[in-house]
Amino acid sequence: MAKEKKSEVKNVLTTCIYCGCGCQFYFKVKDGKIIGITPSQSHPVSQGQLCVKGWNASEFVHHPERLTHPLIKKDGKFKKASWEQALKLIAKKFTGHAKKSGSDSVAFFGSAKCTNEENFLIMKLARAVFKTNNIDHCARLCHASTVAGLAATFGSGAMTNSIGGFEDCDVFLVTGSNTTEQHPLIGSRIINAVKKGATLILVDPRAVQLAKHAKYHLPQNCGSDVAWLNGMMHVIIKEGLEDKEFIKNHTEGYEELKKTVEKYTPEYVEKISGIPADKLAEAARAFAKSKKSSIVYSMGITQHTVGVDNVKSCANLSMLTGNIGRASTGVNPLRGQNNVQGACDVGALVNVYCGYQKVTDAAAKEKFEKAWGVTGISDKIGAAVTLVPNQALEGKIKALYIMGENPMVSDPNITHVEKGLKALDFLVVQDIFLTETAQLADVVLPGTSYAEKDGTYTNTERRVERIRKAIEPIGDTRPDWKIICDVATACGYKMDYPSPKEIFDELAELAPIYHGMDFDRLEEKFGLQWPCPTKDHPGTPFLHKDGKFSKGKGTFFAVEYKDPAEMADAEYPLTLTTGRSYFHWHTRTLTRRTSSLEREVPESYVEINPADAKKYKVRNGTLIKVSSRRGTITVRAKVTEVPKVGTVFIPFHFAEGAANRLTNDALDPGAKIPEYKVCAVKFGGSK
Amino acid sequence: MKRGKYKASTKPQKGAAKNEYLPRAVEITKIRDLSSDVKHYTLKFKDGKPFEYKPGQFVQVSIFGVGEAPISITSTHERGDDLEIAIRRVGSLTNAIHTLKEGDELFIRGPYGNSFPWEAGKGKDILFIAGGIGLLPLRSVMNAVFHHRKDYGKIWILYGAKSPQECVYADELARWGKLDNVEVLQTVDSPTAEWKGGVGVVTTLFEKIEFDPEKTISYLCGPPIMIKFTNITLEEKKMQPDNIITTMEMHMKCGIGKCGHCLVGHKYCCTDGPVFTFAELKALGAEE
Amino acid sequence: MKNLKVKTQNLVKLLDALKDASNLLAPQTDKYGDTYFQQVVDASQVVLKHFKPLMPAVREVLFGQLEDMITFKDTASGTKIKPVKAAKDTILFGLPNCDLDGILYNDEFFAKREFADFYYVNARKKLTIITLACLTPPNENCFCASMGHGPFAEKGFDLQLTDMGDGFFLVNIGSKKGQKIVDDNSSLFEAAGEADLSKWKELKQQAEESTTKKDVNKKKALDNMGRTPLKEQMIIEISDRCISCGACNYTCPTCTCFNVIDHKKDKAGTRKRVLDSCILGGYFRMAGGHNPKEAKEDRTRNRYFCKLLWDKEKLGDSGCVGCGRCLDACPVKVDIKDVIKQLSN
Ligand SMILES: Cc1cc2nc3c(=O)[nH]c(=O)nc-3n(C[C@H](O)[C@H](O)[C@H](O)COP(=O)(O)OP(=O)(O)OC[C@H]3O[C@@H](n4cnc5c(N)ncnc54)[C@H](O)[C@@H]3O)c2cc1C
Ligand code: SF4
Ligand code: SF4
Ligand code: SF4
Ligand code: FES
Repeated sequence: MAKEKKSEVKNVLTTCIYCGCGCQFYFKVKDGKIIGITPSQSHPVSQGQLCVKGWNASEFVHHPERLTHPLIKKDGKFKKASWEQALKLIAKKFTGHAKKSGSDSVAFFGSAKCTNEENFLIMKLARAVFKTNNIDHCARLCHASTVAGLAATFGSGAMTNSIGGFEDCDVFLVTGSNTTEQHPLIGSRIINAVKKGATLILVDPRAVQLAKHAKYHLPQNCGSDVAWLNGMMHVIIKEGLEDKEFIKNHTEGYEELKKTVEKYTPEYVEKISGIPADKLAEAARAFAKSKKSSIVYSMGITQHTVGVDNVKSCANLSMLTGNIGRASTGVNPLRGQNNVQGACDVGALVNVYCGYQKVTDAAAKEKFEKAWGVTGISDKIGAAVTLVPNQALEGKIKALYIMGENPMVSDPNITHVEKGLKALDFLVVQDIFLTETAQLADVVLPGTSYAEKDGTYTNTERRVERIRKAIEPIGDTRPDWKIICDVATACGYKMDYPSPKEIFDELAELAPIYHGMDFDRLEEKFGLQWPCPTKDHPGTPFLHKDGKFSKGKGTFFAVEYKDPAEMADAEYPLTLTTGRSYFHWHTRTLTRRTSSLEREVPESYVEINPADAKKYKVRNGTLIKVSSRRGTITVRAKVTEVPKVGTVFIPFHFAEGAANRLTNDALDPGAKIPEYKVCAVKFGGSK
Repeated sequence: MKRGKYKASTKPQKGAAKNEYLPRAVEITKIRDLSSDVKHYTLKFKDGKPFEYKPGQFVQVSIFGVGEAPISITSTHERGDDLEIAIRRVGSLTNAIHTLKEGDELFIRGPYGNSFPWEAGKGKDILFIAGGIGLLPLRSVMNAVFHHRKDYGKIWILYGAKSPQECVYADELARWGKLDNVEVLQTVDSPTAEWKGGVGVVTTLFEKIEFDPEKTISYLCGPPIMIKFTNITLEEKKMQPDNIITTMEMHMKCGIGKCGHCLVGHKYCCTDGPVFTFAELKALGAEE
Repeated sequence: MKNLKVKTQNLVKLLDALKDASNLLAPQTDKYGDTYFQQVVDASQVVLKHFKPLMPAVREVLFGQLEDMITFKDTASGTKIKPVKAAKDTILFGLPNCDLDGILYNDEFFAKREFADFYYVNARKKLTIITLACLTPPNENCFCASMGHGPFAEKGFDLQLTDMGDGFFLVNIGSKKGQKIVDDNSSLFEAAGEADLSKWKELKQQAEESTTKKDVNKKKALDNMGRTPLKEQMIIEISDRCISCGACNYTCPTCTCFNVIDHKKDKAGTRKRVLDSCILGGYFRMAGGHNPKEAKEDRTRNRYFCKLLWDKEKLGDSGCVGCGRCLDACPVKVDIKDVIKQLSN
């Protein structure tokens, strides 16, 4: 055999960049290029399986449109720049504004796509270097209400149970989650459980794939969630199906709840929600009678002006029936992004440091000042992602640093966001592609993709997992953690870590829920689930064991139904709800550069029920205009039985035909989450 | 259980494996507009080597960096034509080609696919039926037939399009219409004031002609819906499915029976087709 | 067939020699507990027990998930193009017979029909195959014997090894390439006797029994499939569960579909092929939006027809070699055996 130079082939275990399931797979790397993906067979979530996004999660890494060097905008045009030039300019602008207009004139966005280490560093940059709590990220847009709502009721704002327990559930209440498309490897477990005999209750205005497997598919009017949840509790209490022992021993506030849900008879609820009274009652009984009932929800619950109320109601229902604190039960908010849980955990939020330690707490402030060797950290809650455009327009925020987010597609009422970003004096965007938002930036910094760096993500079941460097950084890119270090150092605060391992150590030191973890321990198995307080702690598959809630007793919150901020009316007669498609991720920055995914859904569309199509004379496959009080977009009509009559659906991924030109930026008063899931629209242009 | 064995059913190519995916460079020597969204291109191979093809075959056309697509050959090798293709603007590659100018470069590989069995029709009447850009692939066989005019009987050309602006090869249709024993009938869905042809779908033109199903061969090409209805009409008129010949359009990537996209039943549209008789299509349809 | 045997320690020595001579890929278990083909650095790490990788062996070097085909560069005198020649000498060690038969299928499909596939043919010429016969099914989803594809190989391998359980592996030589390996390392092998051979036959028979699923009747199923349409209810039930992940295509040793894409930056780029999946709607959609298989049911049906019936018409045998990978990798446990079973009735 003639001897040739051998190819070098290696396999590197890493975590999927897409959803919160946190599947792990191997990159197959040949001579420095990724040529394939194989799911891990031993990993507890993937088990040798992936969804279509996971199987295709490497194509974009070598995409030619990757940013390869820093860019500085001069006279409206980007010019290639050196790292030194870019960093110097950033330091000058940020320190300049902070000095002149105060700490809170600068703001930072972390990223649910970046690692825990990177989010930890950017929050350290904001807090320790710039003394501002203006640090937030897109969790504001998806699960801010979960963090607030579950913290208030249970004491911990995360998914209570584990993905592994799903196949053993007896009853699922799935609401506001298109699970098979958004969390495919959780959706598949629900389908498998139903096949084995579990009962599925699906409350969703759209007949999503799970509807085919649901015993009860109850399409509610968008925004009526408190009403039907109260209705279910009404039936349960009235028929004496509540778990009296659990309520007595582990909760408080029950009497008030009981009083409040009194008037929510199924008939009364039917008027608000459109769910047939008898069906709701049947579903309530099924849920209460099983000892392994699990509530699964996602953004259909959270993205409302009453998002926190919705979450509290879910918590109420699970405590009422004692379905919490055991395997295969619980309240399970499915976190969307691969690392949205982690970005929250490490404190890329306006009100908490890592480990949910409040910025308003003097002891916490002192702890962090000491750890970081600084003084004067702010104890004032910062400006949330959704408030930044306004504050920019008011001139309060002058400079903004965005790490790996694309608010120009993802945020509500984009027209307004665009105005806000343009009103800034200085915008820095750090990303791997020139996104719609990056195009507005003054300086663009090229980060590396997840294939080129080390770090950790925390999936929706609180599992802290490694990502591992498989190839060298492409072009002149730097890992995001390194960039943040460089920026901090340029701004006069020396930040220097040899690798993400040491950053993680600092994070674990400061965050009690991560305290027992380190890279060596994460290496042993497929990660650890927090809380993991000590080095010998095995991690926590489900929270609130035996009804011992993180905050002591679980609290019932009696909640009244409130109308959504905007309802369909004579002028705008249809209700718009938004969401995702299976094949795209968020703003398509990655998936549009993945041939098989982009080919599936190459353009925006609006789902219309055949009855509405007939009524408004819309033909399937034609381009039509859809308008709300905030804007008009042109999208292709898709006539389908999926949405209920009177409701239309548009995916939010597309910059052209952007659903968020229509959505309402009305916010939940507590969590500041916008109401993406309900607004009023009509077909045709606006006047 | 008997051991399973695989055996290729088609004939392998002789000699060492040639890289069929590597195209040849051509220069665009002439461009003309055929309709509002279709342009016609005359091409010359830069390597000067010959390129032989038969009516009904197609080529894979690429611009590197944009992509590759199957495009029918509209010229006729029989007559010694230069290679000609016509392209409708629908997506990324076709739009990119439309921005090219004379003298620019394209890449071509092929020819691929079987061809129209046009010689088998000798001595018979020929009925051409085309819808929209379905006329493009038919032009090659039309020209071959006209090139051997005396071998054939009466010729009809029925052509339907959405609107007069979308009719292609208007000049050639007019020229053919003037020939002896040739009838060209046209129709559009939405006519303009000047339009002289018929109005309505292409099947309405059947009312105006009289043909003998026993001694006529029909060549048919157009959008799926038109093919469906024309075929129903032809069968009503007692035309044998063996004598109805069409070209199929499927999603294609490789053109050489490898990528799988164009599978219809167990046949590859790119190598076993794109020309099929209706009898063959029926058999394949029954498989599914 | 001349038969030899090799001691386990000598087999490790053989692998050690092969790894230096060529690119040797063999199953190894990593520290997370996953076993898959890896480049061999330390021959003692190679798993010598029969195993079924999640990704079929054909994906390793012959037809992968993402492959460069042509590089191109714009110049003043037009675009210059160059085919990518990536294939290097490779030895695949330790694959099961379903993988070997998968490769034989691909040989017919890519190399022996009209328009041989340049990239496949090149890589195939440089590939040496050493199989390891399955004594028991590597997992419960295997049914190769029912499909007539194993678990022992009869032809197509360069070497086949069978663990005899007594510290020896029986060696079948299947080709000149295999013979050469034996000749080059003759001191490691010893002759196998009659007793070895009869024991081997016994093992083979036991193995066949253990990978036969009584209720899977291939012949009946294929005959029925040609005659009557697939049972609609079953197709709808499968398609309602299917989450369109594509894994049943990606992991199937006889799925051959690909898409072609161009990546270009400034003036240069690469034309690549990407493993494709017929469960995806865009696979069939044509310019202008028309889709001959718009409904997921139609695409589900397509897969079973393609695998079971059309492959038989094209290549003389059904494409399913009974490896069970489409079930291994399916998140909702769709089982092709159910389809075959229903058709067997
Ligand atoms: C045998 C054959 C002959 C043809 N002859 C002609 C001709 O003479 N003139 C002409 O204008 N057109 C012809 N076509 C159609 C032409 O191939 C498509 O219009 C072209 O592929 C579109 O490419 P695009 O890059 O511009 O569009 P894209 O941007 O690639 O795609 C638009 C849509 O088309 C789909 N698509 C992608 N590739 C193909 C493909 N190869 N075939 C069908 N759909 C595809 C995509 O999924 C997408 O939905 C022919 C097609 C076939 C199969
Ligand atoms: S289910 Fe989620 S984590 Fe798993 S492969 Fe799909 S996108 Fe990735
Ligand atoms: S269809 Fe399934 S069982 Fe059959 S060969 Fe393919 S992956 Fe294996
Ligand atoms: S593996 Fe299963 S879920 Fe995935 S595409 Fe195939 S049948 Fe569907
Ligand atoms: S186009 Fe690739 S198989 Fe026909």
